[in-house]
Amino acid sequence: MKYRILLLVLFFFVTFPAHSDNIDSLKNLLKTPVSDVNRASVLNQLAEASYYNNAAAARDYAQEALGLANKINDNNGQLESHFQLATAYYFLSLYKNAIQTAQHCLALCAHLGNTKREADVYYVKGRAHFAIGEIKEAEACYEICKNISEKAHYREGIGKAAKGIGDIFDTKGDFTKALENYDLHLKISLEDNYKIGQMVSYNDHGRICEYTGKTDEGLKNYLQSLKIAEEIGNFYGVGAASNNISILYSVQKDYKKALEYTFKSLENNQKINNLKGMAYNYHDIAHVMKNNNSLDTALIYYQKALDIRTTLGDKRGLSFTYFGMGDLYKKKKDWLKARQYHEKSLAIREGLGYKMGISASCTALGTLLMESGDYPTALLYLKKALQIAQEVKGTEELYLTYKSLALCHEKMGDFRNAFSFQTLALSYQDSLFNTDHNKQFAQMQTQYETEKKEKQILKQDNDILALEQSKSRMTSQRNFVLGGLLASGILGFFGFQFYKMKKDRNDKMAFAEALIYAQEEERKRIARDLHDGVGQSLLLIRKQMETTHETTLDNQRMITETLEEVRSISRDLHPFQLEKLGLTAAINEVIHKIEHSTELFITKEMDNIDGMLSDKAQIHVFRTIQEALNNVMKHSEATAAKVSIKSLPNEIIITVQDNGKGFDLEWAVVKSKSLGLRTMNERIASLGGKLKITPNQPKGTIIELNIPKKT
Amino acid sequence: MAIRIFNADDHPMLRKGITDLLVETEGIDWVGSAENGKEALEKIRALQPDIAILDIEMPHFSGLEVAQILLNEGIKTNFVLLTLFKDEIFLTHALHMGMKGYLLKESSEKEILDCIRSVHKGQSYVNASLTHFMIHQKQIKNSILSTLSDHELNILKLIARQKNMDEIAEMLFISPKTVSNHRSNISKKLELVGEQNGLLKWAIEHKELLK
Repeated sequence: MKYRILLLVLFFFVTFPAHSDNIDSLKNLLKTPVSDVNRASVLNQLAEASYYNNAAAARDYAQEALGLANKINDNNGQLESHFQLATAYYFLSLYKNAIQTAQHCLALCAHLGNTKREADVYYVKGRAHFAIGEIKEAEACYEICKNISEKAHYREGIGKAAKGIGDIFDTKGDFTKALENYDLHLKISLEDNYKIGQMVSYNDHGRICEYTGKTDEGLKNYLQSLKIAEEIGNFYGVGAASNNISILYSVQKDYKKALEYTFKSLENNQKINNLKGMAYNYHDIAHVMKNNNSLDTALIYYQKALDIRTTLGDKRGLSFTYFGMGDLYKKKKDWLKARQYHEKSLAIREGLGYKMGISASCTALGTLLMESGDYPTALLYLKKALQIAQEVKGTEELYLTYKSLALCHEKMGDFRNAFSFQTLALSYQDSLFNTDHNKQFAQMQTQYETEKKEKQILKQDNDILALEQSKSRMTSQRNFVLGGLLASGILGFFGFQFYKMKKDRNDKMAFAEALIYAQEEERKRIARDLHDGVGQSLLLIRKQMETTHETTLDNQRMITETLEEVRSISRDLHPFQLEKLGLTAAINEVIHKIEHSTELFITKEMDNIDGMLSDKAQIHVFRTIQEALNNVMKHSEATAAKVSIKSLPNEIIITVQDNGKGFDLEWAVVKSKSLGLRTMNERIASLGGKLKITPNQPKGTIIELNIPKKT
Repeated sequence: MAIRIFNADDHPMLRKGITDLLVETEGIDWVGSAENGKEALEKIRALQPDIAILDIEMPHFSGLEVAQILLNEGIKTNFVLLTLFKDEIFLTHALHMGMKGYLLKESSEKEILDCIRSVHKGQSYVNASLTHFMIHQKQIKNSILSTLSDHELNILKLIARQKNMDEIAEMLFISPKTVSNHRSNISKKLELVGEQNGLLKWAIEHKELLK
């Protein structure tokens, strides 16, 4: 009876692979009193549900389950725990342990005659072998997994085997066969609605597309994988897909986007302590830094990647890092070190039979030798590179090799060959760096973002409101950008003519209002760019100087001063406190700043008017008060001023008065002469309000604003 | 128990800088980060960290909004702002609404960690370069000045600048009679009644406070 329950449970989770949302219900099950057999089985399910997002927890669950199974001498439980343990070790990047534990499993499988699990175990063992570069062993495991699964009509096993065998063909550079296998894996995963399988196989498809020069297809597949991973909350998958997307952007030389995805990946990998993934991320950061000529920073990140990969025994990864470092030392013109690292990389790749890599390393060494003038040896390496690149049909490799061959022949004075290789290189260049890529990339990116948004709306009903708000904010921002561009273009072009022809007052008002609005929005944009863009970059520069020990008292002081300057310019350009804290606080702040920096004594009697005016009206009112106080400071020779704000049922009355020398001209004349006052007047008029300027008693000026409240 | 910390910033490099610091520091358990206000809101709600370090400027929701919403919900998390804004008004606002720390982005790593530890102990923490605002405010709040009305305070400030009655009346846009009424009230409150030029002496003595 007990065994029957266990089988049922087993059947359950083979058919419905565990999802993160059932982790909680499983944990709850553990709290209820159950027999040891069932408890072990629940623990094993927990392990299975956890290894993608928390491999350490998966290992602990599996170990606890194993303890229970050993205690009651339950062979099925022992097998299951060993299998989960092996998988957890794999995800913890402890490949040797994974292989050993898998070995235990196989003995138990044979004893119990559990063929499905046997297939699963061979697959995990294969992956562990593959990870440490034991390609032949991996291949054997996958073949066995395939045979057993086919005999038992075990679909998941067939899919897994296909994925593994695909990886082997990928390494050997036979992309057609690799793709066939990945296709099979995808087909089964789609038919059985097995999301993790889909996620993995879209990623694999993307990689092959990338290798064969179908960059756009590659991105599409990666984004698909990313989407599924995010849907099912699989951090491992998000990390892997983001990393691949980052590499694509890096090849397209869009380093900003590349870094963005690398960091996204790194964040996910750190979350689940995926060392192997983190090593990839550090490597990618180093790559971008290298291309950015920040060689020392690049070296730091290569070293980080190198440390992890050495510990893990990730040979394939090591070959990449050595390659990158070789490239870096080439940039530093340290030919000896460059050659050493490239040779190290090549040696590993030859050991793995990793064809694309061998070709790349040979090209790199060929170019290196060319630089140091050893043309005959260079040519040997390049020819070897070409031969392999042709064999595996790697687009990028072919392009790079042809280009280097052209250069080498040119240096040797053989212009005829140089020319023909150059032509060949060009034919590949088009497909690699097609300018259309950027456009298509952007399109796909947008599509992905949109789809993601739509998914979120469906998923989180209670967030619809917030989302709509953010969406409308985005649309209005976009509209403003478009509108701003259009407005400034049209206004600039037709403005003068328009103004001259139409004497009509309303049109003039509309024109003035549009102008003020465009100016306000432009200022806001510049202020934000300054504050967030330049400001943050300054901080990054300082941080970077600290890490490279380039800081001196002088440059620290200069950066701090520049930062203060950026702050004060952006504050003058746009009152951010207005958006963040409201109109009343913003006006208070202006008064406070004036009192701090001048001798002018300001009293205030202010009602709180937050939320009583539209966003647009708020900025007009704020600017008008600011301008009024500026006039007091600049022109009035006043020693004191008073700001009062009164909130009446339908309108707001604001007065700014001073005890200065007052205007010696009639208000009408003043209005036509002073640009500042004219703008103030236009601002208030656009709100349907009134602005009045009168002499103060006994001396000075009063500016009074009447502004209708929003209805 | 390690301090569980969450951070949010829309700038990838700066976010990563803080994340790295948190990950590498012993006694701190970094629980996650967000790149915009909406994500921060959801994740903090789900993760319930001990401390959340937020930037002000972020897409969807600002750091202030995120903190306000969650504090209204009664979350136990303590909030710290890490921002480029060096304006007193943001600082006052943040502390007033119940945030526990205010850090500038140019803070050293030591300052950030000091802040985390103080906040975790239940104390507030403000960047060293901003403390003078606080000190001044606190002094006013603690002194006898807090018993004066706004009008009375303004008059005292002008007395400290050695203005006479007529000048004060003009500068405050009120009548000399009103000023004289206020003066006698101030003298009473400060217990200076009967002293020759008592108000002027007191005001000059406490000039720093009256700035």
